[in-house]
Amino acid sequence: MIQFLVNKNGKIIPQSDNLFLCSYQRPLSEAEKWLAQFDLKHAKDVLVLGGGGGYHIELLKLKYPDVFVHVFEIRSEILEHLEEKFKRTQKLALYEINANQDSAFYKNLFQFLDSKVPEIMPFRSGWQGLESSYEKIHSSILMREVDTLAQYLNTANSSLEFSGSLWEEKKNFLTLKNLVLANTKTAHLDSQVLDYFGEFMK
Amino acid sequence: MKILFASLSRIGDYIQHMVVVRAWALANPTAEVHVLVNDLIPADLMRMNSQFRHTVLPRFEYQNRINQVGTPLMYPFLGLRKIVQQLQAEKYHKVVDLSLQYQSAALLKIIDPGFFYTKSEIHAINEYVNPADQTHLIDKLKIAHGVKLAPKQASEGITKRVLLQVSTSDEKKNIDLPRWKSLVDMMRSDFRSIDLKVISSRAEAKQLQTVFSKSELFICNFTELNHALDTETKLISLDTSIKHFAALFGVPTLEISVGSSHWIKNAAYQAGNYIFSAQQECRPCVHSSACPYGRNQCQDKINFNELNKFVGEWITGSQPTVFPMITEAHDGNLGVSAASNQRGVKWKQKTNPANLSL
Repeated sequence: MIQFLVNKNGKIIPQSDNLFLCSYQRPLSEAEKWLAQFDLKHAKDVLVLGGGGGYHIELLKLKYPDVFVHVFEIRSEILEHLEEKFKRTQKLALYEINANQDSAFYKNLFQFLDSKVPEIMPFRSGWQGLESSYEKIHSSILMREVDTLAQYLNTANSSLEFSGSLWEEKKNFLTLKNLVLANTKTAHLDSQVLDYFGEFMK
Repeated sequence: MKILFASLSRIGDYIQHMVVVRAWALANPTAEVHVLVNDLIPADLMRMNSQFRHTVLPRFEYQNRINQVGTPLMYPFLGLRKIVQQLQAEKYHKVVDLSLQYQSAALLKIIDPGFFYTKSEIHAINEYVNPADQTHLIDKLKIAHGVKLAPKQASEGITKRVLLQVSTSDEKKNIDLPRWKSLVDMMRSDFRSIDLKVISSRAEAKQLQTVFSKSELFICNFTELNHALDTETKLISLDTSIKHFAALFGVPTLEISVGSSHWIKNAAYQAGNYIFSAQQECRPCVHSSACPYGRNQCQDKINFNELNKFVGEWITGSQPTVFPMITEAHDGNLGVSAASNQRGVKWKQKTNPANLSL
């Protein structure tokens, strides 16, 4: 159950089980600090993971009006609030995602990432109370763990093949170098493109 | 005919490559010319060549992001695959590598499996890596691609403005900024009627302001610089993209060649430019490796008192008495000649004449 409180400056702050989903006192300076983490010079699309009070999205649209903002949010009450708040905003899409995702969701997610290649912008204040669900989605998006990479490769349009050593990788943070080294070189374009990154690493 | 020229080196190389591409396009007016560049090339510079469709390979962005924790692992791969697929869909009749580097050749081979270097391109590569070779890059490329080109003469006229390009992205080709400051101060007191400015990009302005005052700087991009490069301007420059850019407008240039900069190979493609070249046994060194001395001691071989004297003669149109080299057109190619009574006539190079093939 989400409650919407009003702070001393008249800003609407969502609260879930006594947890504020953005800064209660200073939502605008929180949004500024959040946005300052990202380099959006070349971004066309961004994926904001977590809707919170929407102040970070408001600032993002103010500073980058031409960037298409895709907001992923689990709580339906937050989405309704954001729909109202941004009903006149251009180049903004809100997506409701479930806490427990099935394979169809991941297939759509990976197709979305493949086609838009959006900048990933996690808004962690908005995750409060549902951290593990958001973390799981975020981790899948980053594809930097063996199982999330496998999940991506199973559903995405990719012809990459890797040697068995990659799947036995103990590290919980994969790098592109791991992939280049494990790339089973084939004549397929995907294999050649991945192999080309080896040139950067020499 | 649809052709792709790959220019995947630095800004100065891109400017020179485009001289060749423009000449090629002039000789092949029905051809559709596309150019592949990397993300070092400023957008405004590409716009000056907008008659050719440019595709940007964000190679340096990929390199920066490869191991960034917040970037999805497959993003660089997806980005590059998309660019390769777009270029493949163009179905080029011919793909040409102007960069003549293994890395660009490897990419072109993915785009067009039939890509190969011709014999004349292989010859150009062998020559380029041969330290004893003294052929300008454009002269190599024009032979390799059957293009007619010859260096034009720098314009002559009165001097109202002198611009200085005092820094390069390559440490080895730099001269310490305080030394530049002393030269600028000397010139300012000796040539009061001349408008003297130090060129600065917006990115380097902060660093240059540790030595120069803001009023001494001309902070600009290539479009803004374009407007300042007129017939009343002269340029003093290290081995930078700026000197290649100035040559497009016939701006007379004094080139200062230190570190890995070669006095002919890397010169601006223009006759009538003067070159102060540091004479040191190890010059010119290899581009890609750091100076073994830590600080490039060859820069101390450039005598700024002589240089200041030369500038006085140069801007007043007097016969120069102090200069080691001047660029000239020899049989349609760029060469240098030395003032007969000056030290620094072609110095003995410590080079291995053997041909080094890739």
